[in-house]
Amino acid sequence: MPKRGVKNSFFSHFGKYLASMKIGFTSETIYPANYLSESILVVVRVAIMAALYRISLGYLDASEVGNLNVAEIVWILMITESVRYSVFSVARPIQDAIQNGDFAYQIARPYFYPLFLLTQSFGQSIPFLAVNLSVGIAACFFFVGPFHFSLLGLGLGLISLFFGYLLDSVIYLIIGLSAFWFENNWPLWWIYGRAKFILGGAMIPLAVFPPLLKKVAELLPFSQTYYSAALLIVKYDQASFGRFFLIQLFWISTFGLIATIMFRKGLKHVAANGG
Amino acid sequence: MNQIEVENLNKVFKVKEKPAGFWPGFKNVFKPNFKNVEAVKDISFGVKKGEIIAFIGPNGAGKSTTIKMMTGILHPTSGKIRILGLDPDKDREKLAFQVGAVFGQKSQLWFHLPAIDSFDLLARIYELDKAAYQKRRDYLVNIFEIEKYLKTPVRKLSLGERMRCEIVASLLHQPKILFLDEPTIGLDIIAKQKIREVITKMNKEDEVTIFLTSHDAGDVESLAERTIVINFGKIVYDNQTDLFKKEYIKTKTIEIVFDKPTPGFHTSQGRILEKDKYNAKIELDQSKDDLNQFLKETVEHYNIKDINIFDPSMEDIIGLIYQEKQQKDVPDAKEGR
Repeated sequence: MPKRGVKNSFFSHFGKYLASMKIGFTSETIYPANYLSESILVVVRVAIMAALYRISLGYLDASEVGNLNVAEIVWILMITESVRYSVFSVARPIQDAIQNGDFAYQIARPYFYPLFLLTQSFGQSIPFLAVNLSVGIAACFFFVGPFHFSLLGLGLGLISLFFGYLLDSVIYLIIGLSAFWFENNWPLWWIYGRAKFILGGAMIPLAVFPPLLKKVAELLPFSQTYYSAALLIVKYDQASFGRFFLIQLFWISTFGLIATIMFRKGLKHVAANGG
Repeated sequence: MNQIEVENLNKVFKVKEKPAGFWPGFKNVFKPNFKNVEAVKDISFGVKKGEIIAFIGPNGAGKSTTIKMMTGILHPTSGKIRILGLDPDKDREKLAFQVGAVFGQKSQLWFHLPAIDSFDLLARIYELDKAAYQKRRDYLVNIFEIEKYLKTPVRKLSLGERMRCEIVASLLHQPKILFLDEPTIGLDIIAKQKIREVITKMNKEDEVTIFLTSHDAGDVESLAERTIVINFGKIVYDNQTDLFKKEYIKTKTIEIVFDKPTPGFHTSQGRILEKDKYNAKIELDQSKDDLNQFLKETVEHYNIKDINIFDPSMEDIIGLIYQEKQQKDVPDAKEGR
């Protein structure tokens, strides 16, 4: 057997997940037309949101709503939407693998399958994130101009974005694993997608919601995927960061536990019946 | 000592049954019916280091289920499996570092990327040292002659080229045992021959034990030293391949398409089963007819457009095995009276 790397070390174990991220990234750079064409949508979305909120605030004769001006609203929505559309969900590959029987073969390799998929989908998302965010930033500068930038807000916002990505991925993992029990799990996709769109601040910023609804929406996982991070980047305040961080940790642990139970039950199912 | 030990292995699947008709189907939603399907029934065998075993049988015989249990993908209902001293069900990850597997209809290569990218990823998955991996990869690339399409996206490779890359992928971590589940399925005769050649070469040079499932009698003839036949989950034959060939692969069927009308086709070898102006179907009995002689004669005297050679189908072979068993059982029964 060829010599194994630093045997059983953290680096040799972790190296396979970095390699999975790399191959995910490489596989998406083959078809640049895919993400370049998607970035056109980003420009259209920014243009529509800028026009919509300018007209709405003009109609109300106000320069701000929910403590946010038009530029800040558009920047928040652009970040939320660009990240949401760029992220590759782990639900699709896991669901396909369960339904076509590949799952049994894939788990037979020496790695932790969910983490392998997660890092792979992160790698796949990187080119889309880079292009969509770059085009989105340029479009925001063009249509609404800059916002008041804070380096601390950017740093903490990126941390929040990472945890938001984890939360989103764990929820998608649960949706994917549900294929063990549901032949058609499309309703779960649909519900989650719509909940993220409406209660996740992708259509209307939560800051604009009535106070009670805003509080409830903030506590739910949907807004904690990408909206909270976008808010921290555009309009940073320390108290919000702490609150968002705790809510994110709560949901990641809860859904992580559910996903682990589902994965173990799925493994038993595969071991008994081959998928 | 055996590298593979299988004792009294059983696998029962629980399969949901849906009765026909609306009302029984509706009732089944609330009170589903299950039936037990015995995929593998009390099988035992051992495999020594460096052996090439053909584990053959028709579709649904239990070949893949057995291989899945041996690689830790499936949990046996009862019985014992030891692969290199490990229990695949409990030590799946440890075992994965020591065995390789190719499932003919499942790819481990990234479809849109060149095979070399998948090889690099697998090297990381199996935690191989970089220099040792590169040396091993170059060695395998050379043996399997895949250098010229190493950088071509897998989706653009032919099935035979892809299968060679699949086998290289499964050998990168230098496994002691290689499980090949239908590696020649869907391949043309040239590609099959190439795969068989490289499998034999790897077995000789690397001393890797090969456990091969197939329902192509040609794989058995060219590769295996020993043949195990499984049917309806039970082992019905386990012996040396030479004996197996002598007993059960007795005939070859040849189909010829002529270039121009040849109504008077005849041959000194074999028996003509069917013929018309453009086609002829001949059966050769390998114990008395010579295939090379037949081909030489036919090519010399007739204009051939196409020629195909077929081994007996797995179903025919199984039929012969049962026929022989029945013939053996009848005298025994008479003696018992």
